[in-house]
Amino acid sequence: MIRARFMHLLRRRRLDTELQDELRHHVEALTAEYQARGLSLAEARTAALRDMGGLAQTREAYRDQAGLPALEGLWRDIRVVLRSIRRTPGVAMAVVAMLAIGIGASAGVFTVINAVLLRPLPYAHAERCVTLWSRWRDVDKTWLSAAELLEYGRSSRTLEEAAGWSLGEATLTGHGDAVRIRGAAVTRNTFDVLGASPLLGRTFTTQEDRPGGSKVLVISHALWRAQYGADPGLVGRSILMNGDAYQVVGIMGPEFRLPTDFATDAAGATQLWLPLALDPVAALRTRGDRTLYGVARLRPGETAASASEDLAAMTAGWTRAGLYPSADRFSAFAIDLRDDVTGTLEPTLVLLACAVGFLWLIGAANVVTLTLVRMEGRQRELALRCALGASRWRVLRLSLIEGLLLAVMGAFLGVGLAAVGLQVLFAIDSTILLRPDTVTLDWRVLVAVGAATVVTACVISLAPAWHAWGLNVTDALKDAAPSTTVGGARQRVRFVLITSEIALTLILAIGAALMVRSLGALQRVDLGFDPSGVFTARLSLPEGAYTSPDAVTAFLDGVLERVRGLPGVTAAGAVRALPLADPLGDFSLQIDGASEASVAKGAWQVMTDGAAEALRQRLVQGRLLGPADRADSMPVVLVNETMARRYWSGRSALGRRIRVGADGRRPWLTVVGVVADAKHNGVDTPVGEQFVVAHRQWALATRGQPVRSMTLVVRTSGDTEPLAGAMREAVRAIDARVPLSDVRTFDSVVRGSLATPRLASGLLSLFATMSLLLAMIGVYAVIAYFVSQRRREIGIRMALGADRAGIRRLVFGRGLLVTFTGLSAGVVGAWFLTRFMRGMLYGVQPTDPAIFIGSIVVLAVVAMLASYVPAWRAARIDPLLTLRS
Amino acid sequence: MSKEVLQGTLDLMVLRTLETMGPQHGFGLAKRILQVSEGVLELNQGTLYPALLRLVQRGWITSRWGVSDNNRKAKFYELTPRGRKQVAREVADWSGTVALVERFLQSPAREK
Repeated sequence: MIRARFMHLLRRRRLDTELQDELRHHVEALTAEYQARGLSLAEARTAALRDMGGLAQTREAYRDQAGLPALEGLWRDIRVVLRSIRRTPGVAMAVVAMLAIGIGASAGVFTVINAVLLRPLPYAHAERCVTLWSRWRDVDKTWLSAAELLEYGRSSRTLEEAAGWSLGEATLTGHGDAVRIRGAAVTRNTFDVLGASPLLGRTFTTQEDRPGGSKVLVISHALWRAQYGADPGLVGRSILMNGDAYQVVGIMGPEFRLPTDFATDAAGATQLWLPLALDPVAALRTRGDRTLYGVARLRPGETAASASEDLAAMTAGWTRAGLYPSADRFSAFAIDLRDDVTGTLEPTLVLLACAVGFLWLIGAANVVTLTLVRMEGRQRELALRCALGASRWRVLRLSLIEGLLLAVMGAFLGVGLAAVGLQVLFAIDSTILLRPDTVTLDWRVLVAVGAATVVTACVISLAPAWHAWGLNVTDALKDAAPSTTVGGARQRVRFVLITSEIALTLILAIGAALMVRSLGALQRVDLGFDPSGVFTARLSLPEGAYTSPDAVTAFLDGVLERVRGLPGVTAAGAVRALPLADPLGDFSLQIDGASEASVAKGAWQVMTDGAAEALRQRLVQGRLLGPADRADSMPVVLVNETMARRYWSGRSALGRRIRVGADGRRPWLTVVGVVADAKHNGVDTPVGEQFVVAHRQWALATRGQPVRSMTLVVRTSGDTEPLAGAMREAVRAIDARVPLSDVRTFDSVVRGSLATPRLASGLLSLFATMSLLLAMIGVYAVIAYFVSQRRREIGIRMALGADRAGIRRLVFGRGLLVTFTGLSAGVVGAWFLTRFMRGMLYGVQPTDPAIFIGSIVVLAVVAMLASYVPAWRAARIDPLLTLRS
Repeated sequence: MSKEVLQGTLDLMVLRTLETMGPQHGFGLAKRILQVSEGVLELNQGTLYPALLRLVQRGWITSRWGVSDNNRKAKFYELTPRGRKQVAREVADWSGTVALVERFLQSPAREK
């Protein structure tokens, strides 16, 4: 039945003409019959039509029978609304544009939030995983030592299993060009703890994850595809890594990554994993060497908080047992895995979400204002509809349909804006967000946009509908005569809306200004080195081909000699960890002359001569490393100011001696220079104790391996562009098997480390500008409408002798009142809200008076301009014309 | 008798007329219903057409274009097999109702 009706609805035009024919036939037949009874044609026709009853009613009844009246009613309403929109296209376009801005900004930010915060981590039991960290006297969050990790896994009350890994790099050869990729040495259970299983093959066995175990690898899906053409036969075969053959035992799924691979500043995710092979016995001797990341699965019912308590108790026990000096205040804690992965970005995203929320509210308030204005214009039409019998429900429905129609148009435009905006954002700066590939408009975003659209539609249509609900038809029909001024209640609604708009805009503007100031402060931070004009490239020597420290030294010397000879190069060297790119960890130290109990520590940096010069690190005392610091000369070390102050407070550090690690057989290193503190792990991270050992002497200083992975830092007075090729050439000339990776300017590294604050300040500024624009339009619209409603009143006032200045004051006063009420509310709001930004601000207080005053002034000027224009126009009203019309 | 068409009875009249007279166009149906009702029923002839459409939608009758006696194009309606069953059912229902009401009317008034 419904189906038949629906089909008829589709064929209604044909049905209509058929009925026409049918009725005509009926009338003709009836007429003929009456004629046969002797009536004239005209009489017969009249009689026939009388018998037929009202033809129009018949057609109406027939149509109702043919279609679905409710659906058609809806369609009719939509057409009414479309007609009314077409009558005032300017207003409708403004409404759609404002909604598009609000919805578009919200959709864009929500897309990012969705990608970063809402999308599940690619682990089976992420909610039961925590990351493990150490805490020291002045280091809030640092790595674990092997002994600690093993102990946590073995005897913690709250952790079921603990796994750990250290990051590194490897060179793959034997398959086309040598490639340099990031990798990690992981404990056997890392994959299990994270709840990840391989796509093909298996992960490591206990036998493989012990010192002297076999050479096996698990590789990433991406590497498998890029390098080996996704050949399933790869499992079980051997590949050449760092010159040695390793057997590939497993391939992980495309989603898998280590928790550390989510970090913003990692230049790339790890692509291959090999057994960490911890030595439980050796681990006990190197408790101070913290190089491991830790992750653990909680026992059922435990939380990150209870695990933290447990770890704190364990470490306190170790300190009591004398394993750690009490002065270090060593402790450990656990963080929920998800919080840890997204932790740095979360506050920024929450801030942005609040900002777009404000923007959306401002847009919606503007739209409500405009709709109210329009409704006022349609007052008479509405009253007429009511008088002619339209139900209030019908009027409400019209208003809702109008709201929905506009909101849907706004939403489509907004989603388009968001998509384009995100593309532009990534095109401008690809370092701005982690994993831009995952930032896509998926179903969650579309559902959110849909919900926002419906809410918007309700908000913008309910106010006018409520307005229509209480409409007194008789009064409205009278009131609609242009002779009177509009009732006070409706004016008030508009002024309250515009006041809130100004308040919200002020809060946004202050928030944005704070972020911009904070970014400025971050960019002005004295890094302790000068990144401009420096070119960096990472290189790494295969362990198999470069076994001895001498071979490594010879290679580096050769490369540096060639690089220094390149045109424009003023200084060149190499560092183990590039500041702001590769984080530095702590090494335990012995200080000559200090008591045995007080174990010292410091972040360990290794440099060749020339590196400090290339970075323009400031020398405070003594000398930098030079070509004379060789493996066979006196072992030397540079320390930073913080370290000099801490361990030799007050007295000169020069000539003092330290020893790396706890091993008493290692040689003492003599301090020959003190350098200024330089930022390393982050622009806003405080600098701790740091020491620099000459690259040629590192193997000696630790009685161990030379550092084979170094980053070249090359200062040039000229263009950095041709340098990349020349550097590759220099490396290839000495050993073509050594790949160069991460070839980039140091400036871009520094910029990348500030990606999050730049994202926040950039987007907040954009939102604040938009909201300023919207607020300006809003103020202008309300004041201009105020004037247009009072034309007649103004005319009368002028006719009675009011001068133009007085009229200007009247209107402008309105604008001032609204502006200052809004600004006062905004200041109070900002005062309370900006404190939540404290964690994101650097070098500026959340209630910085200059920023508050500046924002107030800017907004006041803009709002006054927006209300001055209508005031000026009001003063030019011709009383004669107005009164006559 | 009321001159208004009893709600629902128009359907039965149309179906029954089509059953007895075979395919008819709208005018023929209206004329026939008037004849049978012997002028008692003052049918607004236009109301017939929505009713016909309803019956078509229910699948009880179908329509096709044909030529009337006076050589004019007209739409003819005829019963479908389902329509025939419906007539039987409605006639039975109606007779049942009539018989029931009849019994009430013919029972003697209670004696005082």
